[in-house]
Amino acid sequence: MEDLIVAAGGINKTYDTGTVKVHALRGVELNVTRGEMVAIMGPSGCGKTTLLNCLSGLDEIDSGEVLIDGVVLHEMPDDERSDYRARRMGFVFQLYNLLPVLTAVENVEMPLLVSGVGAAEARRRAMEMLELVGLTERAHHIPGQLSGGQRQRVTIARSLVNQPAIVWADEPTGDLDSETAGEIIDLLVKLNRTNGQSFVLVTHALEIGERAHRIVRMRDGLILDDGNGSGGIPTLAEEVVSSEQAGE
Amino acid sequence: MEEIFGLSMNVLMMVVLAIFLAAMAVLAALAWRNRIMLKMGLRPIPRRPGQTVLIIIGVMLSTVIISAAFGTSDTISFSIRNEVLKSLKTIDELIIPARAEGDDSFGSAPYVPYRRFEELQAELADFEEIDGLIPQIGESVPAVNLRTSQSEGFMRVAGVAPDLLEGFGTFRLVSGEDVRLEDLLDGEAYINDKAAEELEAVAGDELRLFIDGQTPTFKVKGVVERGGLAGRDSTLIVPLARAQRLFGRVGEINSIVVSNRGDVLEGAELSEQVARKLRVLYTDRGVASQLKGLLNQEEVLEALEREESSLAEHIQKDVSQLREELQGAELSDELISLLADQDIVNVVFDVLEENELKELDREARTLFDDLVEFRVMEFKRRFLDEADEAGSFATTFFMVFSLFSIAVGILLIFLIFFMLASTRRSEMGMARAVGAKRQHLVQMFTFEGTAYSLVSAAAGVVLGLAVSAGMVVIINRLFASFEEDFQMSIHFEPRTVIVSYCVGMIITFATVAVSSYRVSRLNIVAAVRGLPEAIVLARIHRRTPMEGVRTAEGGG
Repeated sequence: MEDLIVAAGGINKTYDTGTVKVHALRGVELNVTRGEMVAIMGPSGCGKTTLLNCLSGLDEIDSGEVLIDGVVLHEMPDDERSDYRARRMGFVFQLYNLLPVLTAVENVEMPLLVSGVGAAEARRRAMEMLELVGLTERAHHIPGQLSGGQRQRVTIARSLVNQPAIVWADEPTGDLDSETAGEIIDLLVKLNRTNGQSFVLVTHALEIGERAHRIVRMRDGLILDDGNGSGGIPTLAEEVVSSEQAGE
Repeated sequence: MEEIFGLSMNVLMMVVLAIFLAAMAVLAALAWRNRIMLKMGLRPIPRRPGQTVLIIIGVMLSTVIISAAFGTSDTISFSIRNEVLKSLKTIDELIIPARAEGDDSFGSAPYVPYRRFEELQAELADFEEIDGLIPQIGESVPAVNLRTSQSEGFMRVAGVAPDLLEGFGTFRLVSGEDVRLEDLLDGEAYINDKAAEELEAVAGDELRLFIDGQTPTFKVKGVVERGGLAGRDSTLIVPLARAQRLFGRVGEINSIVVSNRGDVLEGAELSEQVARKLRVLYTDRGVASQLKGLLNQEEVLEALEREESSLAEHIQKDVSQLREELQGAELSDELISLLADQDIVNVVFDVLEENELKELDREARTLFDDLVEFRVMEFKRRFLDEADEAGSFATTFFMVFSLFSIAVGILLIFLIFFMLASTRRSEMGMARAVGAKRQHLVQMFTFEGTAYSLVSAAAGVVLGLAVSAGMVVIINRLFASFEEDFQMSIHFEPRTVIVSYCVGMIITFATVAVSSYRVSRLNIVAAVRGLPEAIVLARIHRRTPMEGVRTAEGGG
């Protein structure tokens, strides 16, 4: 049996703008094995980021089930889910990566501090992670004093400081020049290979997809190809049945 | 001011101080445990000085109003108290005959033989709470300054016994020199500075008095400071014997002035005790016993109880005690003292009249007429109580009419914190994404809000007191335009500063805590991506899946 870190099935997610309903995810199914690096790709508006947010528990789902390391994240109370995120997950976002009033090392140690790790221990581990991403000398600079690449490396350090089972990354190189983007990709791949942590990356960049173990392709809220040979666009009848099962 | 809304200011100070310190202690403990949130809360403040100043100004509104209310009340209370103490100085009580005799003139106090004073002196020889007792004659007559032709319609002529001034201090010229009544030659008198003002009189001027068709003339020996035995209103002072001759009352007096032990303020604190002692001495116990029987009736007691709430605070207490004492088995000294108190007598008459207890009213009036030989008036204590009540009333009035502004201030604080939260929404979303709980965000905003509150409450107190001082200046100008002597003196008690600061701080802190709790509720995805909250929060469950379904735009 496969050692699954993510097991998601029948995920539906709809947004209501008040005048129009937007069906962002339609019965999505996705599994990720431990240590795997998965790239989710597709055109803008296909539901990649929504899928990442739903899988990571940042956003609610309308129906379906998401298990992270065997735990049903969506049934947890909010505080417990926050705690789980702090202890077991790492996040890398394209924009708004860092808290602007905190220094690099304070940003990195934040997930540890909010999950109850002592200040001295958190600082030690944060400095170790900054060393790992090559930013020791910038530890006490605030994000505004760092370049785009340095900021993203701080974000990566923060995502890994709690030794998470899985790291979620949304367009990790989206705002970077090609040289810096290459460095970040190298760093992510290296960390994945070295630490054996699972990575789920949402990206437009083919060079990231090529370095991942698997590419999941999406369109119109559906997985066209999950890289394992399954997936595909459901028929209209399948879609209606899926929605009714979801209680809509 | 000693009370506000019926609550002692000292108790209020202790309560608000305790709440303030407890809140700060809890916050300090949370800050120590979550220093990262403290940093997130406080670090943005110095980075936006202009916005910080605006926030502090917005947050201070409630404190300004509270502080101005307390400050004004302090000033009113202090000014009236000051005026009372300046006017009465060492005089604490005044004893006047209660029963007029056939030869007493209408409008002035009845006269009694001088020996009644000597008897009182003997009776109080061992009573240590009194340090001065002096007989006097006080009458008001028209007077004119022959040099300036200025006149005074109600010149008070005070005849004071020069050998019994112990406990009352001396008469002092406006130039600061002490003078003795014994030094006045026949036809000489001192006048107080108020009379000097009214008559434009100086030492050496001749004043003519108009007494029952006679026009005696007095040469002004000197102008003495007003207050105490020298009187607050225009007063001419002569030795008692000369006043007795002047009014044809040789061997008689019409009042006895009492000075209690201690300084001008301490004396007032003994007033209740002294007045009780004096009233018991001058009350007919038999009549008091009959009055007890007459008033100890259910309908009277109930009517008194109903009346209590409409009375001034200091009389409320006495009426409440009267009801208790009336129902007691014995005729106590406390009851005698209360029945002999003219303020209480007036309340009883009002109650009997308003409740149409005509028979009782008639009987009570007859008994009260026979009850006391002398009335003891606790001038100083009553006036000081009224000063406190005036201060308390000013605060209550100010606060009640400012409630709307305080509510607006609270709403403003809410809005400010919602605005602050919206500017930091993506940060908050990011913090939540990496594991910060909602309580962490509440703490972060509370730390930030508390920092603003600590400064704004201090600034609010200062500004509120300044507003209060400004109002006093305007009121004083208004008084001056009416040629009133009374001027308010700006005065703030340290207690007022503490209470205003703590109350302002608590209101702001509580508002910040509530608004922090509210703004901490956010959708993480919407916050991180800067999307409107409603789009992400709302989900469709009721409609068919195909109805109006579109592919997400920009949601990839």
